[in-house]
Amino acid sequence: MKYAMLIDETKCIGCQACVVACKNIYEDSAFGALRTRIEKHETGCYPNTTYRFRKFMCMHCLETAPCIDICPTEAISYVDGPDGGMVVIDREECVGCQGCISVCPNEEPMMDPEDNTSIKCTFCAERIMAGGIPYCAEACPVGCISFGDRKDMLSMGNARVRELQGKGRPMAYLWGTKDTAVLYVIDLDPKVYRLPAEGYTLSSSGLEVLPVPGAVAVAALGGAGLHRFWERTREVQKNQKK
Amino acid sequence: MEEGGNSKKSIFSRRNFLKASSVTLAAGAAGQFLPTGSKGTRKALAQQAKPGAATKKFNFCGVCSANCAMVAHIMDGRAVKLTGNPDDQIAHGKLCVKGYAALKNLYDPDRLKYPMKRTNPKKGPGEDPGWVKISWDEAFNLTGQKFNEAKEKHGPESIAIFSRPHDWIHRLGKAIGTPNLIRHHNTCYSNQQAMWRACTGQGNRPWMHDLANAKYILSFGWDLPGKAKNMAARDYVKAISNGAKAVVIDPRLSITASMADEWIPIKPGTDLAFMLAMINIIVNEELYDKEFVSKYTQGLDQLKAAVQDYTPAWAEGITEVSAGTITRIAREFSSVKPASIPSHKRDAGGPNYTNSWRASFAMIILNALVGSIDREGGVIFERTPSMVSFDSLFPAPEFPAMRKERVDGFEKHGIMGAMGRGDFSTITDAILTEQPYPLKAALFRKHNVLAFPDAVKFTEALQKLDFIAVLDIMPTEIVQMADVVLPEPYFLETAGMGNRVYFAFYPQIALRQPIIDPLYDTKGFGAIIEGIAKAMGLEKYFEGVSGGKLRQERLKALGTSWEDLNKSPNGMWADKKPFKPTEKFKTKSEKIELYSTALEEAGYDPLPYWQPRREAPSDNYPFNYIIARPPMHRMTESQNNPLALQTYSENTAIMNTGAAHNLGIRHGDEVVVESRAGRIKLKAELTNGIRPDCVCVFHGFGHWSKDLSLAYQRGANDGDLIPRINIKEMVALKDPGAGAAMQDFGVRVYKA
Repeated sequence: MKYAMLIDETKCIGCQACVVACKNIYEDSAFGALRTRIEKHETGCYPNTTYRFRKFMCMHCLETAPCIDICPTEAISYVDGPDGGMVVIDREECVGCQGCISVCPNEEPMMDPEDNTSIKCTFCAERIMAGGIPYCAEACPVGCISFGDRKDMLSMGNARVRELQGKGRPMAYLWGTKDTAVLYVIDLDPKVYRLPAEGYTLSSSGLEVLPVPGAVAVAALGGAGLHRFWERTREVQKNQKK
Repeated sequence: MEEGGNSKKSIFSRRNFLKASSVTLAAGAAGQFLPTGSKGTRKALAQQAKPGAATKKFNFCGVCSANCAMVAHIMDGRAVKLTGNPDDQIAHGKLCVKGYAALKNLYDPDRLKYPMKRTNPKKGPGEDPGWVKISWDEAFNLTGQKFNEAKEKHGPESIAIFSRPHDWIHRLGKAIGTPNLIRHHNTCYSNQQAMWRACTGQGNRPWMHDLANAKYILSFGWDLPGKAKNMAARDYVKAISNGAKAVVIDPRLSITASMADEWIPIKPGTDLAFMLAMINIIVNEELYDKEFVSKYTQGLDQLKAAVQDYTPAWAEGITEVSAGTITRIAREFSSVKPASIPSHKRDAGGPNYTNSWRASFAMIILNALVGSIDREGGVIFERTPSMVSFDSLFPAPEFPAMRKERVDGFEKHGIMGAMGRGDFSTITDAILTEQPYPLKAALFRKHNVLAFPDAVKFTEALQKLDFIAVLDIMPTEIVQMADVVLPEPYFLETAGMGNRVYFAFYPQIALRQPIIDPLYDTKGFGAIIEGIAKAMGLEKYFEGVSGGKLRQERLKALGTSWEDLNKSPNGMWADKKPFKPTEKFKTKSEKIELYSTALEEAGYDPLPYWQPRREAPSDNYPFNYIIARPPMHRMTESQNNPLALQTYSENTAIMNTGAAHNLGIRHGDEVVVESRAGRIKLKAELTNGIRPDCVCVFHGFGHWSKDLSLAYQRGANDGDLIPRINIKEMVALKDPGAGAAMQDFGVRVYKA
């Protein structure tokens, strides 16, 4: 089964119950090192102002996650292949080189400075395998996070978008239908949410498929970037041996 | 995460502790609870996910008074997770962010661990109390001795008890013979409660709303979704997702406003004028619910006469909202059904301005005019089971007669005076001036000094007392002022039962089981009160009260028992009666009184006439001061919780971008916010989501107790700016709820 997480940002109250429920379990050691976060994005000039929240997390890129390509120790991998919808990280294998951070188009993962490894959302893969749902989806008090079969998430998301459009929210759409396992229902321009517009292009107007955002970032990293990255890896490994 | 020098250090030492504790957890929790992010196939992952070895215990949340029923998941003696109880009407299977974070309070290494006494007689910020560990016997004896000294030398009324209402504390107060049970209500909701009593005769907690079924939600500063209050957030989101229209009238773009169809940034303290103009339109255009109004209300004619001058054009000049908008909203509100105005504590009807009680009055009238009082989609009276009273079950020997009136003057206010409650605004001057008489000793339970208006002055006033005993869980600021500290267990370590009151369509009770053994040498609240009573020689008033008899008798009267409740598969007892709307109200006329005879008899205006706020901004203090709360913090109690702190780590001065730039203030600059009562220093946070003439500060920060290793010196206390009020001034304000006017003054802001 392909998995996906559907986040209905038109319902999010920004309370951070998901953030707290996640951190309560994973207890990643650093203060502020969070596998999911809530961003508040304001738009408009006073008094025509509003804001939206975005549940910020690993997007779980389908098929071409740049973090998997760049990881020198294969600490980051797909669960059951590239279209399963879950990108996980084994922190015992992580050497703290920060390569994944440098290539991620979504500014994930984060470093946990205490054990110098990358942390990111794993969709609570162990729980999923045991038939559960991620802690954040379990916790959300207003029910804006759903997790399950990608087909179901897509049809739920599309139904919600149609509903919103029918209720006078013409900008409503489902973001992430092509590239990522994280799907957002949003009702303003993706730029407001700091999301690349591609998702909008793909899901709503059926335009040509744009390159995966991650692939662009990998290309941009190029020679010099890669060199720095390997330097950093060696430095980290040296420090660890000390 | 960027932190200041001091706090960074404390965080890292604290982190080491947490790291150690998480290792323990990892060892016990196997793969299911602490996945490290495994790689490989699903099969491998599935093998790693061992079936949950967690045991479950039932409890209900003690973080806020909503008391959501919760399920605690325990592994190897350690609570790892809290979830909502699916069968609870309040929780619906979920908790709010504060509830999910509560385990970090339970396991907070800074908690009070045993009784203590201070050795440094000097008290106040910066003074080390010089704590010495003592036995419970010594703690009780010392407290009893000091209270008796005060009683003998200065009379029983020289002892004040600062606590929320509670059977044991009422009994102790009466046994001592002091009228001074002082609670926080006039900073919270006493004026709303006064008005619900005046108009309907009921509404003990007038804030249950059937939002899920509402089609039009009109908020005057109401922002419970923005405070993550579980039932309000869930039902507001449900309502607007189902197509209900939401309009929010608030100087600040609250979370509720950001999700609404319309945000109207009204001039602070003028909501009453907006409401009066709405009443004018609805009454004059006969848009009200004629059947409901004729059958269930009285006083329409007097109301109509009273609002004739309050036209939308008049209100435009006061509120800075166009007459057209006010007229449109009045018509929408009275044509879409069900429509309602939810209200809860610190909104436009709360104790924010000296005219807020009138706004609360006008909100009740508006809800009555559209037929939304105790009707589907409207304001609902809680359906709680009737409870055997403490006094009837444990009749007391005769109490000593009270010799004097209350030290805070609260009984001088009609309607609410009889309810006890208390006045946080007047108590500071009463202590400092020793008028009407001197206070010498005090017992505090959890009412922190940061929660008082003019908190700095209140802290000074406390230094005048000879003796202070404090019951608490954390080493808060009030603990720093204590002579004796009596540590209580966290609610997750205690047993009991909880009436569903915040959201009860039918009578329901939740079970509270201790989810783990007590971590420290603490004693339950009742046991501490009895211990003090015994040490004072007052044990005869508490004979037979302990041992769970009260809850057993209460449950027996409902046809169940403590044993049955403990055996219940879902930790709940319920009597699922269908909802029957109220036909007769508890007023003299048995109707909702738009013209309130109760107010008239108590000497107040029986109709909500216009009255401006007391202290609008001036040349000296040009900004309005707005106090709000972030969703993840509970008042002053959660700032040492690492989970709450990671999601909101310090409060700021929230200002309009344009207005701030005019003063040369940029985002992140240090600024001073100053009122006639005090000054605080904060970082500026700029937004377009607030009126240019306002500055907003979130409540809960500015802790000065060094024993709160994470909360210490983060942000500033909003309460330092709130002017206190003396008894004479409070009586002159003629507010039936004696609201503390928490925002009724101007401030100035400048770069630090």
